[in-house]
Amino acid sequence: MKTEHDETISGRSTADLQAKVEALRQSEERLRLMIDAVRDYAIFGLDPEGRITSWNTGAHRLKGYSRAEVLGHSFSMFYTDADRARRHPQEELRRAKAEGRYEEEGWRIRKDGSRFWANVVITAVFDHDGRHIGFTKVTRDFTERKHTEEKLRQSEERFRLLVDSVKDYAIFMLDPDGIITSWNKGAERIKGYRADEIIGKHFSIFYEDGARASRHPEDELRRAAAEGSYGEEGWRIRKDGTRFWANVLITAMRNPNGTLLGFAKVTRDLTERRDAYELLRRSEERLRLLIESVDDLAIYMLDTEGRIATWNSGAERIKGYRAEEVLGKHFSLFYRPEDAASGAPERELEVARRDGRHEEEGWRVRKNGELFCANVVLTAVYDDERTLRGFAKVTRDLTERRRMEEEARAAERAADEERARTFQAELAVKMRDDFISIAAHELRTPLAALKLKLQGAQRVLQKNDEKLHTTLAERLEGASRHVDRTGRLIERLLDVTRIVAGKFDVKREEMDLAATVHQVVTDYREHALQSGCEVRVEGAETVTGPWERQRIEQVVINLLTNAVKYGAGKPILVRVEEDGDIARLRVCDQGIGIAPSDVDRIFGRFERAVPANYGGLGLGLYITRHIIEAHGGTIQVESELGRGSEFVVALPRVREFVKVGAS
Amino acid sequence: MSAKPRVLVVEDDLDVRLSLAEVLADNDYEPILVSNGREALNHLRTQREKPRLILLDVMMPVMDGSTFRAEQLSDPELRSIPVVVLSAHADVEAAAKAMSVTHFMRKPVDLDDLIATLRKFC
Repeated sequence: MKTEHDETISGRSTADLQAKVEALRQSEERLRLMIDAVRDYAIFGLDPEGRITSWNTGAHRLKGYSRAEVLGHSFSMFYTDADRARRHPQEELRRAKAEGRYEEEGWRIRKDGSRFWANVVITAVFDHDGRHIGFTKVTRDFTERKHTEEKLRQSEERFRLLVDSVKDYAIFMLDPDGIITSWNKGAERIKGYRADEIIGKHFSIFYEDGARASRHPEDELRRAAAEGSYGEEGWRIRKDGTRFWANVLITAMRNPNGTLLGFAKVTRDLTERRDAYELLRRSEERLRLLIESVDDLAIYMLDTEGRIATWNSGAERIKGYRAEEVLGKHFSLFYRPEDAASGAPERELEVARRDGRHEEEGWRVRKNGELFCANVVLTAVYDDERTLRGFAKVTRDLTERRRMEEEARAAERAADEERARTFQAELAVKMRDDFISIAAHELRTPLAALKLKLQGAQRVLQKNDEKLHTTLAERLEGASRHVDRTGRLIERLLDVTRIVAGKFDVKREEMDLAATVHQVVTDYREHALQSGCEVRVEGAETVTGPWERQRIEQVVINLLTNAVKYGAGKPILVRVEEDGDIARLRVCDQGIGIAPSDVDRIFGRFERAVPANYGGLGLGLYITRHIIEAHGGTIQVESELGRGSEFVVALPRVREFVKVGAS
Repeated sequence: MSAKPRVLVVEDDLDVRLSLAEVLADNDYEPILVSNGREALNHLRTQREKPRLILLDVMMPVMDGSTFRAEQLSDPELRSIPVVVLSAHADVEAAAKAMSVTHFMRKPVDLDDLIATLRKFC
């Protein structure tokens, strides 16, 4: 710098010049001293090639080198190996020279080899003629600031990573207009959009049409901006169009001046929690409805003081009060005045509070003043924190239960009596059937002896030709017939027993119905003639089938004796027909006939369509019907009062059980 | 008399027993009369000459027909004597079957049937 002055002062008066030089030197000295004194900045000069030409105290302090150690050396000594290798120091000088100034921050090296973060400003120095004469370089140690910045950066990075990695919350930023500017993984997971799909879009995309139409998203931002934050729960839409129940918190972000920078939005998917809540709510609703609908029990809640908090239909029915009449009232309302006065309700609450439960039976009062005997269970109700929330009270009306128990007992007694009666009736039936069996047995025994005697006598008599003997033989034969008739009567009684007991079965053999009819008619012709009835047989000569001979005989006898009995002495026609697989027997009389109202019952047990003076047990048609049905056949009657009756029997001619029609 | 075929009548009712005896005698059989199963067994085990046929009632005091029949079947000497059940029992067929007897007649017995049966066995 001296050289410059030396050149500019040439040709001027020496004294004046010297004074100016001195002033300049002093000024320069002050400047140098000032620069020297600056401790916080390394300020040093470089020649155009970068060699160090001056060095201040700050430089010494900052870099660790003394002036003597650095003067004349290249300033590149302060740079890292990497910077030197890429010729960064030279590049700095080039740019400073070209642009007048170059500034940067970077790592520099101290004498002791330690690094510091330097803020560097290099200024090119030109003389008055514009010639480049060197550089001044001001270096400041920004290591601390660098560290702070680094910490801040790392902190922000960590925060960003943190926000980014949060999966359970959608955390994203909106600009003041609601445009999405950041997007985390939680947002991607919850809403379904990737960052590149959604950044730059308006956040109202997450709202339902209705909410968008009512400008709810904008309203949220307005409220967040006005109040600092805004939170709500509501339905939001995912990318795939499905809804989720969101908990949303929008926070306005402002710089220290209060300028709105945008909004942070934190959204949580509460769908599951809402579902769980919804389930719980429905479950509670069901339970509430259940309790409300219980009609037989008064179920209600008391608060901790004993005031009625809920009321069900059973309570209304039993106590007579409607809900609005009792809610909020003390439950001592239901006690007899003397009980309430003696503090019974409070004592019950105290016991329930102490033991968790209190049960008793006692008198209570309905709204209409009527007393009733009640079973009462009082249970203390605690919440999850074991805080007493009140009492559940269940009251049963025992008067009703007692009445119902009494009714049940009465019904049971009636049923017992009915069972006893039925048992007695069954016993009587069994005793009657047993008696008939025994009676039949007892009757048969003497009949057996009598018949043998009569038949024996007959045989003896038949060995002689004398007339007396003939007469005697005829009489004995008659006696034998009477025996047979008594025997048949006994058999009928027994048949009834068999039918009732379900033991009536058929012992089939191949037999001829026509032949049986002819035989029976022959045997009964005389008997019929005595009643004035002529019996004619017509139809098939032979109709065979698998039937029980004796039973079929019994059927023919029964029908024929009935025809004779009720035939009014008029001709009787018996007809045997073969109709494919069916054998048909018709017995037709022209007698008194049967009234239409009686037709249905004549086949019943002990039933007769005629007055008792006709005699008989009233079992013939009943047994006949069962014999035919046991053979798989049918019997029908067509009759007209005063004109006669026609009985038609149809029997299957094949062994298989076949129900057949009678006509 | 000894030429006539012997028929053992086991019957508790006196009238029936005597009537049967008459019929048997009329038809040239020699009736032996006992009133229950016990007497029948005693007779059969003490007499050397066995009957050609036993007419057996079912319901009798002391020893009934089925007990007698069981004893008879267990006795090798008596086993082969044929038995015809005569009963006033409602279901004489089932009673006979239960006693392992194939021939039975229901009381009151028809004389012709009885004689036919006697001829079959004697």
